[in-house]
Amino acid sequence: MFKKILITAFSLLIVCLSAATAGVDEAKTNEDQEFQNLDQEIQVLKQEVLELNRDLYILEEELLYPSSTQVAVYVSVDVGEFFDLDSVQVVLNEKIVANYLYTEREVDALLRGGVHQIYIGNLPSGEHELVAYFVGRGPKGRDFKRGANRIIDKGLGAKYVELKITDRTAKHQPDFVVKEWE
Amino acid sequence: MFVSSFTRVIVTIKAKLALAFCICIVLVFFGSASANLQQPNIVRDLHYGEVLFHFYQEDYFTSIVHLLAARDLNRTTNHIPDDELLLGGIDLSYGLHKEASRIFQKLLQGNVRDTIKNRAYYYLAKINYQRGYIDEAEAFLKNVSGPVQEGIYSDLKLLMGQIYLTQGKYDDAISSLIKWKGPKEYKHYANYNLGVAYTKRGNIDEGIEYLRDVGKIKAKTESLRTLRDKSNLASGLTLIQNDQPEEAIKYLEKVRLQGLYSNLALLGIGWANTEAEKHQFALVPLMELRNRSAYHPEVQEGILALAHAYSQMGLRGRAVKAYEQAAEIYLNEAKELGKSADAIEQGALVNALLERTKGGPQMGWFWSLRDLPEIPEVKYFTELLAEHEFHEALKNFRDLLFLIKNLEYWNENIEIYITMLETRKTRYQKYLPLVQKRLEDLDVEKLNTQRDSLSFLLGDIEEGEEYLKLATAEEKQKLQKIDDISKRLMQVQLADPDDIKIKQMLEKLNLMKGVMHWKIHSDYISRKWENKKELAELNKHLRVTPGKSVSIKEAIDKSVKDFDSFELRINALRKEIKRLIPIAKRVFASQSRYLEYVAIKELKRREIILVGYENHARVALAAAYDHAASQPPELEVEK
Repeated sequence: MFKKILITAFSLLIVCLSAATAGVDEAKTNEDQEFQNLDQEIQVLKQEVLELNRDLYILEEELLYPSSTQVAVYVSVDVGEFFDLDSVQVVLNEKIVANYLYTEREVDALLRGGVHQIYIGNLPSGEHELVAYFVGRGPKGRDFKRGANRIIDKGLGAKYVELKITDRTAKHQPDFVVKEWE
Repeated sequence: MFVSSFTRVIVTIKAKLALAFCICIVLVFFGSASANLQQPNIVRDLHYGEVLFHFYQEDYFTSIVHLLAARDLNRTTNHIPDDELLLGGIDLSYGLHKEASRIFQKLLQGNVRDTIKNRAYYYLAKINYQRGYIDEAEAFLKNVSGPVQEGIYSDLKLLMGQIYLTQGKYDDAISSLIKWKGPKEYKHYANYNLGVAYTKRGNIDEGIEYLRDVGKIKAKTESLRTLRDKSNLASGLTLIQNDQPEEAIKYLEKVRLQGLYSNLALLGIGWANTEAEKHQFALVPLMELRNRSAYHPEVQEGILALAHAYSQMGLRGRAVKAYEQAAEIYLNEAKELGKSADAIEQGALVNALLERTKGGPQMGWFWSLRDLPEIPEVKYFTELLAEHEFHEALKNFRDLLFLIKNLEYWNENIEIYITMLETRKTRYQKYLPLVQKRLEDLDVEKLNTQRDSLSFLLGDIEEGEEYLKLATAEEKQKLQKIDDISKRLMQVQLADPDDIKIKQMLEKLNLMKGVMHWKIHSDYISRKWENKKELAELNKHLRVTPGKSVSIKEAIDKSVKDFDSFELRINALRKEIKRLIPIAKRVFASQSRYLEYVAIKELKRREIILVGYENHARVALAAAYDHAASQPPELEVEK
């Protein structure tokens, strides 16, 4: 008797579940029609806002940092086995222009090949002194601070400077290079 | 007592477990493929590297904007056509699968290397796979021929294996995955899928071997810990299906109690013990399950399974109580689901999300779905997040919210640029006449003649070592003063030649003059060098002056044109911002409704299932009462 009731209950449950699912599916079809084009609309909107932001980004750069005076400084890390980067300070013509403390996520992005724009500004053409200080942990986890400097020659076009942290495997030491790009 | 119905329950559970197992396979692989989308790059253009910096932090919006700008300004010329591939890849990550498809299809039509074509085929296959077009995904991957970039090769093989698994082509999946080589952490994903392919093919022992290895990994990340759980769960469920419950328990017990798969593992342990007729051991996991949210199907099953277990142990009183509790839990949970659905309908979900995302324009982008805390207004928020459709709808909701904030930010800030341009124009108009006058007055010839005179003068001084000519104006003035005083004193001395005071004063003046001469002579070399240096500097400036004056004249002409062009651009952009804001708001409102619809639909579906379970519990309860009434009283032993 008890067994019979249980079997019936299960059968009812299955029927009930199937019916419920069918009901939901039917509703889904009607409702989904309403939202069918929403994904398309979102994609078009995203693309339009991206293109607008691209134009605004270019406009902003041309207005604030025209290529004739633009100087941008970038930080990159190559290998980075002997140096864990914490922060970088950039001094241009004896004036601190950037101080940046890196998050773990940012350091990871640098290690994977990303390049960080630490500073963008304006300078007249001619020679300028750039000094960069790198703070972090060096070999054996010791606190480590190093500086690198270079006289950069700003011409008529934009000047890009890369502060590159590399490994000197022979000496088991990190190396800090200032490289100029045109 | 309940043998036949119980067997039926077991069969139902096994079918459900098998279904859950299938879902596990799809999800785990998908995760691994997207994680390995891009390999570390050698940067040959700084701006390309800058895009990667944002992309690796999953800031897709900024990386696309910067890449579009860099490409427009020809700043990624050393990365052609990789920059286009990267753009397609980021578009894909940002949910722009249509634009990504267009980019990859366009790349395939161009004259590009085989490695580039193969990458494009891989991404197209991935897009189609993500959208559920499995056969199309397979067709794209079959186009891959010739050399494949090292970083993509392992992803490609993983995707191929995944496609075959989804299609049920287990032999092909095995042959694709067994030769797989790639980074160590991804090897575990490949082995997991290999294990699944073998078990699906019927080679249980081989399959379990691979799954067991993955189930033992030392996982450092949450995704690897989840994979480990999934492997142990897959082993356990496979063994239950193959009537090896005792062996299954060993694997199921390794699944973490707080992980994503703990409910299913606890239910599995419960059923495995029941099947092995170790009912008392089934109680602990099933009781743990009963204390969890009855929203989850595993918990709903577990509540009934617990009552069945009591029944099987002959503990009729407890079984009756468990059925009563089950009915009550189902009823309450169904009510709660109904309440939550009503609250969502009234806007509680959208309002709560908006409340949490107040802040600057960047806020919208950076809130992660994983990190968003449970929203008290909507009890089932965390559970809903696990649903793919809801998750995707929420991602679009988040992106749209960010777009609105971004547009509103620009709507305010574009005015600053207009003011800036006007200020510059005013300043320019004020100083332009002055600059133009100076340019007109500039006589380079005259300046050159002056420079030549100075050069000759310096030559003469050097030749005659006329150090006094390099004295400073102050020194010259002092020397002149000494001479004047000396002359006057000498006149006074003529009147009284024996005056000692005058004599002493003249001697002092002579000494002072000597000291000054000595000082000027000592500085002669450095002064000469300094003058020569300045002359050289002057030469340098005079050389570039004609060129500079031409470029200043050109800059003046260009600036006039630039002001007009900037004004036109700013006005056009302002118009575009104003056009997009209402569109974004309308789409956002539709997406909010869609998000609510998806949530309510899911909650209602669960509510109906719960009502069904409640009915079943009540029927079973009635049967248990009937049975108890027809039997003599029993003694219950506390376990």
